[in-house]
Amino acid sequence: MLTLLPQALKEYFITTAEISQFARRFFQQVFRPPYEFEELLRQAYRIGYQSLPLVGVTGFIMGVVLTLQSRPTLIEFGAESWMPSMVGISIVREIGPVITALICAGKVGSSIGAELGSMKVTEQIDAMEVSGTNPFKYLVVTRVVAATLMLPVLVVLADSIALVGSFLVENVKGDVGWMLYFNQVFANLGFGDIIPSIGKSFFFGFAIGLVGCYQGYYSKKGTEGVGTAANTAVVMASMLVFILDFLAVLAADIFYDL
Amino acid sequence: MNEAAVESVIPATVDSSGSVIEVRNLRKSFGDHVVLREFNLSLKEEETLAVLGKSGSGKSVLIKCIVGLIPPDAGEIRVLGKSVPDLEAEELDFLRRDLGFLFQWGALYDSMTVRENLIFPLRKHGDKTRQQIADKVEEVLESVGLPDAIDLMPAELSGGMKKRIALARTLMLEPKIIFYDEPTTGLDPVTAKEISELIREVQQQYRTASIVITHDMDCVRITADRIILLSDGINYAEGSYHTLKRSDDPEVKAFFGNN
Repeated sequence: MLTLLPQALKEYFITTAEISQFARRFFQQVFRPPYEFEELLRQAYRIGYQSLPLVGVTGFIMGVVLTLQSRPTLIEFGAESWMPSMVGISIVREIGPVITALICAGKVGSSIGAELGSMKVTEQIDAMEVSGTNPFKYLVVTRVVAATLMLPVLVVLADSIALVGSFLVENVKGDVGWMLYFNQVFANLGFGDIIPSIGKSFFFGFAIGLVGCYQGYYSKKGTEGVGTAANTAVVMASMLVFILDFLAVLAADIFYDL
Repeated sequence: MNEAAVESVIPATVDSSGSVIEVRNLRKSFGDHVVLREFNLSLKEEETLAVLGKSGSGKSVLIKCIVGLIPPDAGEIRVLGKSVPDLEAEELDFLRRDLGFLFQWGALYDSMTVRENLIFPLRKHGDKTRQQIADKVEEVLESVGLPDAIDLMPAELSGGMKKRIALARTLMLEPKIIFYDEPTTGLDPVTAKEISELIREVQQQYRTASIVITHDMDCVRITADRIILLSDGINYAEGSYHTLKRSDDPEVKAFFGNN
């Protein structure tokens, strides 16, 4: 039956099956000792700490732009006082997690894809295996776990910096004080906004790490394969972020009755 | 005699035929392309076997099958008395403690210094103290003639230096068998000869058995006790360098003709 399908559709099904197998292998190995804590910390530093400047700047601009663009409309309707709540809910629920995940899909996904792809092409993964180290555990498990744990942290930081950016606009343009602004933000933010947002960030991080590792680990021979691995990792991870976001919003809608 | 020297003279585990490696009727295909068909090989303790063959003839596939990196389609592979295709992952890791593998381009870990590259194989197998590890690193770097390269990154090394450091890394676990995959590829003739001589010195110093995959006839002449010519997936010819050099077979002469 598979032979009757168009080539592109066949490749889609094959890739989906391979990624599922890859994820299954991850779950089989993640809780089994020996644990690579040192490498996990190194990857958490690279994925988390080294993404901070990019995520921080993007978060700040996100807050500033959203406030600047929404302000005239809210003023027109006499709803200027709703600005902190509106920006807070928009950023925490949706814009913060999705934009941060897309930035990480680009930065982290491509970096993992290219790094593992290059290690594969230059036989470093084989060398690791021959030396008695399980390369899947050392390279894949650590990176996927680090991405899963670091993305929610980056999302919280991006949300916070975006709100500070928004506050600065409100302070300069509307003379709104720090206490008043953040009281308004948190008055309308509940657990139903924060928990799904943080929860879906774990899934975004997992998807970015898994797809980056899959593309790199199975990249074809040659430097072209490394480039393709990095590029495909970004495209697939970005697509997965949107699909997961859609599913997360549906789930949140059911559980928290938005 | 220090501990490293004592360990290096412990004989490898041999099977009933006295071989450290026995390969029987090995078959491996990739799709419709048959790479190895009914290939046989045996390697004795402290012997160096060169496997000659044209590019793409399956030499690298052969040694990757032997160390368990590529699963064979059929045939028997016994290394140090153990059947490699039948081993569990943990057993294979344990067996690999006695095997060293020098990859074609060195396969040094880009993100680590020379020191970290050398220490890496000891992470899972080492029961050595920090001082013993430092001494071992110093010893293997001396053996390959690069004692000052310890804090360099792989990107700062020349092609020949990379091969030397890669060889030093294989020596860290004091392997009983070392596999060399095209050890002189990509090197100028002078450096290639130095690497071949270094391989010989290492074999004598550490008393390892070795399989050298190559099509560099100078490397074969310097390092090999015995040669197998791999062609069409089978042992096309076998013998010492001087025996094969006198052969009238056109395919054998194609390798030995100008030497």
